[in-house]
This record gives sequence, structure tokens and C-alpha cells, in this order.
Amino acid sequence: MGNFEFSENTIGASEWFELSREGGCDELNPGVLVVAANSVLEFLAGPLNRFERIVVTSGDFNDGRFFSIGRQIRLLGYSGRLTVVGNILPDQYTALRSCGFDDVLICEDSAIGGIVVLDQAHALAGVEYAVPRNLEHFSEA
Amino acid sequence: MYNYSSNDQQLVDQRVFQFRDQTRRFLAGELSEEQFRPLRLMNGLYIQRHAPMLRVAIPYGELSSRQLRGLASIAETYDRGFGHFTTRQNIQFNWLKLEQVPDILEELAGVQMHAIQTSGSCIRNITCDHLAGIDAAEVEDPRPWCELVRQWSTMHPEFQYLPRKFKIAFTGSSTDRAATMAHDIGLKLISNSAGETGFEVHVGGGLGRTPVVARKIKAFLPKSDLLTYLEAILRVYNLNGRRDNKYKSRIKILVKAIGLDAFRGQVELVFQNLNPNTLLNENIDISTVKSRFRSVFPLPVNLVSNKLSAEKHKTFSRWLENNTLATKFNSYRSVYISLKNPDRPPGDLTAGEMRFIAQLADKYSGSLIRTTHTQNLLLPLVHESDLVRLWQALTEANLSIANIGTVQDVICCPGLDFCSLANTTSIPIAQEIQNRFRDPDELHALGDIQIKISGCMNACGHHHIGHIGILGVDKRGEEWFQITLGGRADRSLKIGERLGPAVDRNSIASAVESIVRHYLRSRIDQGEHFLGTLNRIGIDSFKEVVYG
Repeated sequence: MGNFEFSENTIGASEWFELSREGGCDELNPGVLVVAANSVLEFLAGPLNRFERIVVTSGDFNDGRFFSIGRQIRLLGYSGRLTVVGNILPDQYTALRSCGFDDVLICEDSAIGGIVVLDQAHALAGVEYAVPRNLEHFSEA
Repeated sequence: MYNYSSNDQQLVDQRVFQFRDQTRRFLAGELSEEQFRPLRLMNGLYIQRHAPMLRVAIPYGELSSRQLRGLASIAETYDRGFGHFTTRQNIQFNWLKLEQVPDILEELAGVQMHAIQTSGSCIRNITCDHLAGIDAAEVEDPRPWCELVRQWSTMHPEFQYLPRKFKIAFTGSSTDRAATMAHDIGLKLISNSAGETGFEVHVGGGLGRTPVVARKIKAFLPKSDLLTYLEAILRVYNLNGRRDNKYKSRIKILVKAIGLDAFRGQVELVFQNLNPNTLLNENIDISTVKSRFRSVFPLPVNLVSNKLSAEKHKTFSRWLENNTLATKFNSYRSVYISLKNPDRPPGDLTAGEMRFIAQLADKYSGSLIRTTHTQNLLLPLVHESDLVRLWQALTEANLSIANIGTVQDVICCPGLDFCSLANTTSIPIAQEIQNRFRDPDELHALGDIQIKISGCMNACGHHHIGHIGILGVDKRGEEWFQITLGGRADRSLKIGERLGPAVDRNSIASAVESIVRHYLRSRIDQGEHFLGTLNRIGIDSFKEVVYG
């Protein structure tokens, strides 16, 4: 994962971190920030709200770091679209929504095969999923 | 005893519905084994040696008589008529059919129970001192805090796919009866110099193949910060815990690798970043939780006590002394029901016995039962005038063996009889050792000796922290046993020291018997505890009697 090209205005988290540290992000007009799930939290710096979308690239569905990355991005005040891409199970949609994600990019053979907007997650998963009671404790930013 | 709100009930009901669908998808081939695995584990379902094993959560060890009857019904309808209580206060059923598990979960939901997060890489059942709320020496009853953390951690959206399992234990007492120092997070309610109560937080404890005593990460955490601080610890662990090697993925390894101070620094950083407005207001929520705990009073009392013959009186007195405890409520005692009769596998109870104990709980202890970390049961509050009647009833059912805290009160994992990870049997070893000490007078004279047996290095039987620990190892297809001495599970938690080379299957019970008898001969008087004698005469003296 991690090689998705959304537009020409895509930047990786470590590059963004360097730029924001050097104060060079002011002139930049990026559209999408790509954050790998194994990124260190320090990478999530600078004026994140300049991005229309932040994409978290998950590894395996069983590697739950992407949940914490998403939650941390929201805690830092990011209010744009938050997307996860990777090998995700429909059973994880509700939790992703609770952690602040807006949508899931479905990947097929490293290509984007579709997008699931998490508001529709229940219908798409074909099941009435339990709404965790903790949902009420999570801000939707 | 906590009573579910409609939200709690809705959550477990929906979880049943969800798992029914997941099971159907798996059986229909729509989910691979790899995909189904974490989903079933999150619902307490293991694939074991003989059949799927279901572990049912008993949050902080508290059960109502209705729930115990519910467990009896499951044991009878879906299993072979018994259940097995574990060291984490849960119950396991060993002979189930996968396709019936959704029905079992539905029955559990009907009695406010579930199997959510009893296995898998998530936050497991919250455990607690089994004398919570009744111990006079307690700082504060930890159960409402356990319940708060149970609600917070149940299906927590961020922490369902952690690097590895995560166990949290509470105590409100200075006597640690929940082995909190052997947990990923151990929480102790304490008073500070200003007279406020809060939590002393310990992190990174655990047994398994790398036993580690938990270390103090926070000397005093205000109660209102509990969930925020737990969230910070869990986030740091979720992001940084190793995922490449399951033997190195517990939080204890992370804390060791980066050092306690660095770990604390990361937790504080996340903690300070958390916006309190996005979190629940504990002050409000804890009172809601507390309000859902049913008071046990008034308890039933029958003030006319039964008379006993002189001969029976002696047995009763021993039971009274050994298996019951004073509580902070005048005239009420806690009564242990030992599940360590040598005639039964440690921790096992039949469906008939479950129903019988439920009936006794209704009659004598406000319909409440507790499970203990030591795999026994407890009727928390029984009026003194009912004790003879209760003892008579327990005796008729062969449930009054007075061996709590004795050398017969062995903690033991299921071992090779059930577990697919085990190297050796452990239940037969426990029973052989118990049978070496059948004389009640001798048992009583020996006092408190904790024997803990694990059938493999995963240490489910807590062998590291037994006064006498036994670890089963496989040597070229044969069962051998390593002995450790001097471990302890209390507030001064300590990992035991290896006695010497492993002994074979035929020698292990005799070796343990020699150790115990050597202690009996060597101690200054009955007041000198096993650990005291060991400390005084040294481990080499015990080596002599086993290998000499």
C-alpha cells in the first residue's frame, strides 16, 4: 500500500513533516496528505487543515494502527475528509467511522476499485452493525 | 451487582446478531479462516484440541444466581454438563459446536452476559479483587470503576486490533488478591496525603514466556483522569507495540525496550493532547454506573441457627476458620466454595452444582456469587446465623471441603487434556499432588502454600508466581516438569526461582511432596510461612531433598 496517486497534489507524511519543520509548507498547495499506518505521530504536524483529504494507508486489516492514526489526526483538529485505504473488512466500518474516518477506498490489485462512504456502511455491509456505546464519547470533529 | 441499562442490553443483543452473520459468512465460505479468526476471537471463541472452546466473560468476577443458572443451562444444552472457571474470573466451555455458538451467545445475552473480548488482541475482561466492597481494609470499592472501564473498553473502536491481548486488573485494597502486578495495567485505589482517592497505575506486567513485574508509571492519577490516561497508554501501545513477533508484542516488551521513562513521556504527550471536551465526564458517568449497582441489602436472615453434634462441630469449625472470612458488615461473613476437591479438575463445576449454588445464593447471600482469581467461588455476604445451615447444605453436595488457601488449593491451566498449545497435562498433576495431602489436620497445619501449574510456557496457570510453581515441558515427546520456588502473587509480586533440572512425569508429585514435608520439618513453628522458611534456609536446602 502507499503508492496511490490521487492527483498531482499528493504529498507523503515524512516529506510534509520536513517541509512544515522548515517552514516551507506556506507556498505549497497540496490536495492530499498520505500517511502510512506505521508513521510516527510526530509526522502529523503543521497546518493539516490545508489538505482537502488525508489518506491513511493501512497494512493488513488486523494491524490496528490505522484506527489510532485516524483518531489522532482528528484530535489534532483536522476537519477535512479522512480516508483509509487498504485491506479493510466491512466488519470494521463502524469502528472506522467512530475513529473519525469518512470513507474507505477499496483496493483491487493495487488499483482503486471503489469508495465506501462510511455513512452508508451499514447498508453496504448487509448487516445492522452494533453501534459501540463509546461512539458518544468520540467527537466527529 | 451491576444491572444492564437498555444501552448495555442493546449492545450485547446486536453483537449476537453480528456474530451470527459472521459465522454464517464463514461457514458459507464468504470469510476466509484468516479473516474469521480475529472476529471469532473477539467473541471468545478458540479452536481447541477437541472442539471450539468458548470463554464467557464474568466482569470483575460478579455473578447473579440467574446468570449462574444461565451458565448451567448452556453447560447442559451445548456442552458436556460442566464449565471451567479460569484465573481471570471467567468460565470456559470446552465441547461446543461452532454453528451453535450464536445461539449460546443469545442465551448469554438473555442473562446480561457475553463473550465479547474474552480472547483476541484486544482489551480483555476487567478483573478485580474478589473481596471488593466487603473488605474492611479497602480504600474504596473498585467495582464501579471496573464497570466504567468495562463499558469504555467493550467494542472500543480504536483498540480492537491491538498488537496483542491486553489485561487490566483493579484492587481497592492494600492486599492484592487480583495479581494486579502481573497485568498489562494494574490499577490500585489509594489515598494521597491530601486524603483524596485516586489510582496508582502500574504498567507492563505479565507472565507468559517472559515474566515481568509491572512498574509504576503514575504514583497518583486523579479518578477523573482514568479513562483519558488509559486511552493514552493504549494509543502509545497500539502504535508502537511490535507486530512482527507475537512473543514480543505485549506491552511489557515495549516498556522494556524503550525504558519506563521514555514510555511514560510518550503517554504524557498523548495524554496532554487529549481534549477533555471530547471525553465523557467521569463525574457524571461514574455516578450513573454506581446507581446501576443493586444494593445487596436487606439480605435474607434466619436468626435460628441449627445445632451440631460435637463430632460434626469440629469439621464445621475447621470450615468456618478456613473457608469463611469476616467482612466489613457486622455479623456477615464471606463464604468460599472450594472447587479444588481432589475428585474434580481444579475450577470445574457441573451444571447441577451451578444450579444448587444458585439456589444457596438466593437463600443466603442476596442471590450473589463471585468467582475468584484462584478458581474458586465465593458467596460474598452470609449472615452468621445461616452458616451452619449453609455448611450442611454444601456438605451434602460435597462442596464444603475446607482447603481454601492450602496446598490443595492448586491453580492449574486446562493443560493437554483440552488446550492445543499445551506441552503437558496439568489437571492430573494437580490431582496427584492434592491426593498426597488428604489429611485435613495436616492440610490445616501446613497453612498457606500456593501451588500453581502451567502445562506450557504461556503460563495460564501462573506458575511463575506460585510459592511452588510447576511448568510442563516437552522433552522428546515426554512430559517433564520444571519446579520454581519462592514466587508470590500478592502486592510484593515476585517471580519464582528455578529449583534445578526438570523432573519426569512419575516424579513430580513426589518432588512437590518432599518440598512441602521439608518445609514442615524445617520451619521454626507453625507461624513461619513457607516463604519465610525458604528465605531463611535457602533454596539449596530444598534442592537436596528433591535431587539429593
